[in-house]
Amino acid sequence: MSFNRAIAKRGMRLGLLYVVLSFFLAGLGIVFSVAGSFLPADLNTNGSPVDVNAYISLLPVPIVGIAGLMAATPVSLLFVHDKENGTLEYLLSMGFDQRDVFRAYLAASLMLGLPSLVVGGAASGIVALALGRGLDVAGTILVCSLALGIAVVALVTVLMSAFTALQRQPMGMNQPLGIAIGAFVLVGALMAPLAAGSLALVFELVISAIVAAISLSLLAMTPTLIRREKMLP
Amino acid sequence: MPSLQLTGVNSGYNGFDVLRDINLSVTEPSIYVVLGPNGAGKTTLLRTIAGILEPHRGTVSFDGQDVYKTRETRKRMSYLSHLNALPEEMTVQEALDFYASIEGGDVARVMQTLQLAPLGEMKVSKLSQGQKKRVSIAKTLLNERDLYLLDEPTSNLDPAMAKEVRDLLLEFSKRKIVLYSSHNLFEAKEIGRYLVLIKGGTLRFFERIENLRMATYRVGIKARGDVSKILDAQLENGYYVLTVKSPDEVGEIVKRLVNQGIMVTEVKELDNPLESLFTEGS
Repeated sequence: MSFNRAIAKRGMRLGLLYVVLSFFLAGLGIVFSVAGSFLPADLNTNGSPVDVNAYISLLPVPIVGIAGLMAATPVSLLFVHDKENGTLEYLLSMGFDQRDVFRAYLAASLMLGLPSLVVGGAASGIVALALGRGLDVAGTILVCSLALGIAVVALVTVLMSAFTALQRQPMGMNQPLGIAIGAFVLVGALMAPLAAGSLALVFELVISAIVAAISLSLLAMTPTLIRREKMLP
Repeated sequence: MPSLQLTGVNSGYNGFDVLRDINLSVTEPSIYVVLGPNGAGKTTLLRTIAGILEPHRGTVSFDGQDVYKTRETRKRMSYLSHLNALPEEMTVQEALDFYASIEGGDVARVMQTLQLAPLGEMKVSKLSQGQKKRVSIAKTLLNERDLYLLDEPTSNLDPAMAKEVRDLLLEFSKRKIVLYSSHNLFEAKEIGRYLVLIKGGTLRFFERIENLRMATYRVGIKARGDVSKILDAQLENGYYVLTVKSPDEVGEIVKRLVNQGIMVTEVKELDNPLESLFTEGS
């Protein structure tokens, strides 16, 4: 078993409830997808600049993103645990550097987060399609759920790990700040269809690309941003 | 022969130097006991040699390769932290398999060596501190390395297991370099061939332990008969205690007692030469 998979397995074992609940949350995406399907098509004929149809249709996207975050959370908690018990120190002694460590926990987060993102995104899309919302809406839900979900899980994992490593307080007191920033991004994605209307797909993909780019940049800069002693208990 | 060189090393945390200007050359397979009071920098020294900490100044090299810059060199070392670095939610078997999945190694062999088979299915979180230490040592021994950096390896172990571990390390030290930090002066004297004394972040002493000399030695003699009529000795805890200038005088003293018809049952050195070195100027 690879190291990444071993971390994912440990995260799953420690936080099985998070993973189970994430599927329920992903199910909420389906509920919104159903709700969107029952809206009348002429909702925006009263001259309102807000595209309510687009907004409701894309509600499953941030919901599924939150589900992905929830499933991935145990890995971030495991990072705190492993810092405190000296496992990260031992990994450094084995030849890992800070980036290797962060990358391993990130990969494990994505392994845990992806199933609920895929299930939530695909199920919401299929339901929308089945209820007559069209292939464009169904495809948008699936693509945006995966793109945004993966990007946000990556950002939050890197940030939570960084906050854990950098903080002076013990036991990961600052770690939830990473979730707060992830939630901020998801709220942005939630509001995007209101502002962008029919361009919501483009808008969500741009947000996803920016978030993913920030995550990868932070990961690449880990050895510079986070000194090795920050990984010690 | 593996060789470890530290040249002008300053190292520490967050820009603060805990160690200052450490120069050390280790070229002989043996056990090197790293001794020093709390906060002296023993753990920082081991972490720096292990490549966990980047020296602020100077270099650490193993067989001529910079430890910090070459990952392959770090893979020739094994480091035992004073923390156990074990995933608490795993069983002993799983924890060792987890580390073996990263660095390879023979889990069955180390479980046998450290007598861990009966604990194999127990969760790490349920183990006593001594048992955790055994698992942690097993993890460190998964692969044969050229340099072992062991931070208080026998702390929390019962005397029998501590002896097993010391014997194991003594065996290793015939071929490998073992740096072994300890607070236990008697253990240090028993196991170490060299002493590395760290105080206040500087290297104060690096010498063969057998070369340590004291100004005077306190010797305890157990005997059947009243020794105090023959020697200027005080009775303390069942031993007649006297001070001599050299251990060589002890033979003459015993001979005198025997000639006077006194049966000597035990003679032992009461002070540890490391003790004075340890406390001196601290």
